[in-house]
Amino acid sequence: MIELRDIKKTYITGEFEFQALNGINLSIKPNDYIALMGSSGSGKSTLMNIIGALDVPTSGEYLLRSKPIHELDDNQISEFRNEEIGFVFQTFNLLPKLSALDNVALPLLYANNIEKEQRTKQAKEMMELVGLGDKLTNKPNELSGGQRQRVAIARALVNKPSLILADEPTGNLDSKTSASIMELFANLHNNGQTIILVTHEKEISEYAKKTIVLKDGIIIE
Amino acid sequence: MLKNAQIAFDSILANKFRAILTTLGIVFGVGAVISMLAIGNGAQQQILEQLKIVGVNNVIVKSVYEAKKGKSEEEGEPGQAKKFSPGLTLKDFTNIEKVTPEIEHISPEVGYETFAVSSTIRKKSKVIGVSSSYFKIFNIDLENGNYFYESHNDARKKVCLLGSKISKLLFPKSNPIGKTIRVGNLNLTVIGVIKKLSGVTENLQDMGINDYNNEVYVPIKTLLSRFKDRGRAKVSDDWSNDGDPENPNQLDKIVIQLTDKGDMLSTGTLLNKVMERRHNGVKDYSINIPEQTLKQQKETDDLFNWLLGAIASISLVVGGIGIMNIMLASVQERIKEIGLRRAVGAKKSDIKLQFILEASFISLFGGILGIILGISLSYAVEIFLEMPTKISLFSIFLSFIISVLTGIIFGYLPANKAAEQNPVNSLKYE
Repeated sequence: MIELRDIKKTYITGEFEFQALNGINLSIKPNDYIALMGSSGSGKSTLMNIIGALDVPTSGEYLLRSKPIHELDDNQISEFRNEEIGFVFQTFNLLPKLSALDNVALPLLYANNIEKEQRTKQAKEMMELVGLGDKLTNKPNELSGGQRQRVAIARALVNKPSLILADEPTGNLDSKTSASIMELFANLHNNGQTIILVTHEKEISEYAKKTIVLKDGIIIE
Repeated sequence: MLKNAQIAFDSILANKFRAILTTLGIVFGVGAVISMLAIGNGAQQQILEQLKIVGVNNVIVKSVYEAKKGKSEEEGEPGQAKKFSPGLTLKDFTNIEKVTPEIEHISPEVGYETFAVSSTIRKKSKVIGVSSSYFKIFNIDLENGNYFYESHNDARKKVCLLGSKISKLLFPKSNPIGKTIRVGNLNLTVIGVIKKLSGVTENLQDMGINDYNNEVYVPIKTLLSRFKDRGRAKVSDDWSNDGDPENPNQLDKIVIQLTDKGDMLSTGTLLNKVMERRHNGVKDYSINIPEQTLKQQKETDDLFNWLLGAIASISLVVGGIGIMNIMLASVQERIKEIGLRRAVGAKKSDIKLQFILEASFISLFGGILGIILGISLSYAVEIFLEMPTKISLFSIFLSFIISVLTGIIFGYLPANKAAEQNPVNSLKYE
């Protein structure tokens, strides 16, 4: 489904060049559940940003179902993110002034031509899927950390994306809550969802079916 | 567009207090523009009404006298004897009537401060002697009764017209027509009442226009021969008067209305020459062209209004900068939100539109509040300062457009900044 070919990313700050990714080749198949590991500075965040199309590689090819993503313009990339990628962040990144339901419906707002009733209906379904059917109108600050992350996961799922990108989804949660969140991911995977999990915790990575370890911008295992 | 409008609207609602503070600059700016324009329009309207009152094509020769005795420095070369002038007299009137071309109507005028007495009531008033053309010159309409004619004047008939106010004061309940009033030792029969007239200000009176409402109009020959004639000195005249001396001229004014072909300026010059010769070069008269004066005043007013408007507009610009400032701060504060919106699929144009709409809504809201403020201010000025104001629809429309434009223009920079944020950095921003 996703093909990365010789992806390189170089950051230039002043006179210094930093090679964050140094030739990544990676193939992600439908219903893969991959843990992306590596220490800080290994390039795992950069790789995740490139897969999520938040960042563009300096060189290399990124194909989604044979479609070259690296050739798209900014508007097309925005659409791509909207339709194909669901992000889950360590800090949840919910909009504090919106209700949980509106947060979940947010990606649908930027999708083309979805009526408000339809948006609400889809968002409600996702809230029920993550077990928060009774918290629709709550604001994020009225929810616990685990509940907030569930809202974020519902938001990532609402557009039925090809790929869920979860960047340290349990980083801000206690171990018990972490386990329940990881269970939720496992369920999603069992229902056919493709997931990439970025983590530096060994035990979290064990939930995934496959582990990729990065070091100094290359895949070492 | 619609969804971005919704987003923008929601985010303003989320920060109501800040939005209101942000909008204050626009509120005061628009309020100032509207009220300034209303005051300017009011002043203009007033001048237009006054132009109607002073009549078209009028030239007024007014007698001038020294209000206080003693030497004024403008009196001429020291040691030079003051030449004799008889002052403004009926002879001047006859002469002017003879030599001036294109006269439509002409009337002499003299007035005395006195008391008017009806059977039971005594009121301070001014009795004014004029010829019958006077009413045509100033388009004076009657509420009741008839004008007097030249036949009344020539026969020195004891008749009068009352101003509407003095008429009500003297005859609060009854119809004054046919009744007799006493002015000094003169009994006058009321034959007409002048229609109430508003808008005669002090300014107009300086130009030689009377406040018709409180005056008693009498044929001038009746007045001069039966009441008092300053042209004839009497032994009984009080010479010991220490107060302001009375106008020593026989006449107060000569009011001339020219035909459509007449030129007020050249007539003014001609009259100046005629009067200079007749008065031996003594400047005891002045020649006024009220229409001209008012038009000049209107031009000055116009300029002044534009200036006021311009100053008020500056406050709009300041208001706009205020919006830009807050929007820039808000972009910085919401950088994470912007990153997230981009991550879930918002295009740059969506973000840009959201922020521009936000700024526009704020300034539009400010504009509407400003319009309300401006209208209230205009009414306040009219009520408390007694200055005429006139709110034009145009100024409201203009303020509306300007406030929206202000939002768009000053919202553009922050919106652009928001749209150009790198999503990766935005999401990492703490």
